[in-house]
Amino acid sequence: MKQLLVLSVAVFFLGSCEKCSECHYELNGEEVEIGEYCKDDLEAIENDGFYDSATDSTYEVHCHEH
Amino acid sequence: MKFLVTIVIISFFSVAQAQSGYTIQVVNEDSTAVPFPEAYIEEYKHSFYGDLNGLIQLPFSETKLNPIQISAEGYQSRMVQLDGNLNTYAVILTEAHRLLDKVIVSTEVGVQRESIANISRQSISDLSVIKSESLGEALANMSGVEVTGIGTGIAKPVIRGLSGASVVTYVNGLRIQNQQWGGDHGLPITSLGIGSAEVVKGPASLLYGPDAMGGVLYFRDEPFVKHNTQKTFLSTRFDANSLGSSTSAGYQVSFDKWHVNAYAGYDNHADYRLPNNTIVSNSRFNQLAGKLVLGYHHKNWLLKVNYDYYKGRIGLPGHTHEINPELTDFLTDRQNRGLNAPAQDIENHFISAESRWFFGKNNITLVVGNTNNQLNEHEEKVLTPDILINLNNSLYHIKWEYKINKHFNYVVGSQGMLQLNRNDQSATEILIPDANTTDLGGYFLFNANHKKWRFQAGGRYDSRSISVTPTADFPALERQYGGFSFSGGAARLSQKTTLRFNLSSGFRAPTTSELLSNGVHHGSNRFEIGNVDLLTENAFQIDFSAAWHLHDLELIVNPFYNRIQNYIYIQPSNQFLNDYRVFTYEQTDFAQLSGVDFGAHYHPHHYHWLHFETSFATILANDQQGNDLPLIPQTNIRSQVRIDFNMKSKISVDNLTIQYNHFFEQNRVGLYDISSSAYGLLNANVETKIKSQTPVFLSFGAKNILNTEYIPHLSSLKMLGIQQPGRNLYIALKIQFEKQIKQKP
Repeated sequence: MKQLLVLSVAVFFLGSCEKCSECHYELNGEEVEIGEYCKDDLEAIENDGFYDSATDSTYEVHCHEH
Repeated sequence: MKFLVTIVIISFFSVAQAQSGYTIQVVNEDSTAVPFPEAYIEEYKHSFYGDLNGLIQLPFSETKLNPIQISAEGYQSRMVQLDGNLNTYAVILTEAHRLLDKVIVSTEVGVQRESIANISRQSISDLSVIKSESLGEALANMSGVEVTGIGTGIAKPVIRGLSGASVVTYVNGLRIQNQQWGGDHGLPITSLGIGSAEVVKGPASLLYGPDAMGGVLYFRDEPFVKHNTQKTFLSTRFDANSLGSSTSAGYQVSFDKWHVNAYAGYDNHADYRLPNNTIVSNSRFNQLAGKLVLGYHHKNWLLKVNYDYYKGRIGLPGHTHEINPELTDFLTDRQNRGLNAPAQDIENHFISAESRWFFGKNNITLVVGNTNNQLNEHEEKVLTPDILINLNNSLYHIKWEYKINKHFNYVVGSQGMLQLNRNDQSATEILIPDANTTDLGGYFLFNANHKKWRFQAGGRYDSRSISVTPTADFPALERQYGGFSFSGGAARLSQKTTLRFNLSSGFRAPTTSELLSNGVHHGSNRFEIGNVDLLTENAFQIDFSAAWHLHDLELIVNPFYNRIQNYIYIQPSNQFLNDYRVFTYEQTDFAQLSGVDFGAHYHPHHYHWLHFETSFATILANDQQGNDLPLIPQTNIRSQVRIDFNMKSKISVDNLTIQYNHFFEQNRVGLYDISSSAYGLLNANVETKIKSQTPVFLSFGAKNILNTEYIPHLSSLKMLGIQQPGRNLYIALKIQFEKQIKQKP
């Protein structure tokens, strides 16, 4: 019985709960990749956008696949 | 006499008021004891088991129970009515056949074979002979039931052509809701801990309340295990097409008065693969479910408490930023399962308590419950939803059943609901307004029986009030609706034929989404606009069925006609707003749906291990001008051959099932709807067993073996040309432990 319990718990936690995603923004019709963001960082960049110091601009970011 | 349910009087020395229990002796046609029979009592949701000599002891003395179902492996189930005049009964069981018109015990309608209404019931294991990725998809194995949906993650049952707000879903007496008006809002439960599904086809407001226009889905839990026993299982399945896994575990224990069933399950599927080996982007889904059921009985009181939890994230395929999208924009060559958008995040809590009291000829049932559905829809951001809606329902159902004598009984009941719909303040999109909806209804049902005849008649009145909170997006709105519904009919039952004739009606007030929707609904790829002038819908159905139960062959034919006054439908237009096609809610004077379900089961008497089953279902639907209604299921024939093996070896093959489902082309389409091509699907499954103290069940199977390219007519991805999955090979494993609990000396 104990073995079954351990096995059940193990199987349940096999599923990945990592909240990460590759993000990009669009500039002049091209996608600019900005790498992977996770959890709070992901939420922040989705909501606040990506600040590019080179152009001194903040861009709306997409972190979902196309 | 061979096939009659025979109840033999063994003892006359007891009277109803002085009993301390019942004894049932189960024998076969040769008067030999049937070992280890089972007596299932619907009110207890529990089975009592007999011994090697076929003796079942029932430790209670209630007299107002529904008939008890007596069964044993290899035999047909039989019903026994404990009438309180005896304390010992003998039941003769006859050899088993798979039955289309099954013996069903339901606390709502008594025994299905003796009911005047047509109810289909199948165990979840029968529905899942060919493994399905969702409960909704499994239900489509029932004749007259189809699914609409988006990909494989969202499957929504369609009963006789109607779905959404026109189909009512119950889980153990609790009506559950999940913004079901939305085409993308699927069935809000999994099959975890569910023992069987019943489908009432057609309007059934009398017993199930308003909105039951198309039909009712009624899910019943697995029964508790037998007394002083505990059972544990672990099951897992792998689907090659979606690289998906479905894992569940359960623990069941029963003491003398207490019973517990506890389950947990987790499913995770990546994007599915098409027949041409490309991947449908964002068709992934994962879901976590839990279930806890507690039962208690003491003297003349029964209590059952249910809690169901569900949390799922379901990808919505068919999304692109291209202005003029092509099919390839929705496809990819990478099979992912990570976070993505658009997607739905759903969290449900369903809790209910059901109490029953028995007082002589009286039976009182009270069900109270609460359902909470949190629906978050992510459109462009994977972690921050745009739509956040909470739907909270508090419900009650009380009914009093009184048995006048053995020929007559009646039921009086009342149902009510307070529904609160709230948008979160952080929502950037509000599709439907904040609203309070109150339902109140009362009903009366009278049953009579005389020899082979059964009669039933009843009426019900429901009122619904809707109060919308005014916001910048929506005006204030107060609406009151009322509706009368009824049901009546007769059935003639004999051993070889069953005839049923039933007239029933349904009532449905428009939902707030139908009245006030105003915005883009990404889940269904629509801009939806409501209509505040909508009136209540009223359905009236004529339903007839005839079944012949011959020795080797069983046939059922069930024609129906359903007329819906003030039919509400969503109409696609040629307008576009915010790049989405505009759909408006419209109403026509009436719509009519008619069709026939046909079923046959051939079981050669000399080849008991062989079963041929087939069913046919067709629906015609049009409005008062004769225009076809949109999104009506394709006519279909489903056929299945099953071979049962009776191997005695330690490793055995239990059965082989081969299934072929053919769907005819659908050319009867509504305005802006498109026709669908015919297709056929070949599926197969093999079940094996390794016998030991802890038996291991292993299943192998394949779905869509021929790798057919197809798009169901009801698929929400039809307009985009996105097909359903290609060939899927799967393997499923189940390990089960059962143990007696040591009793105190």
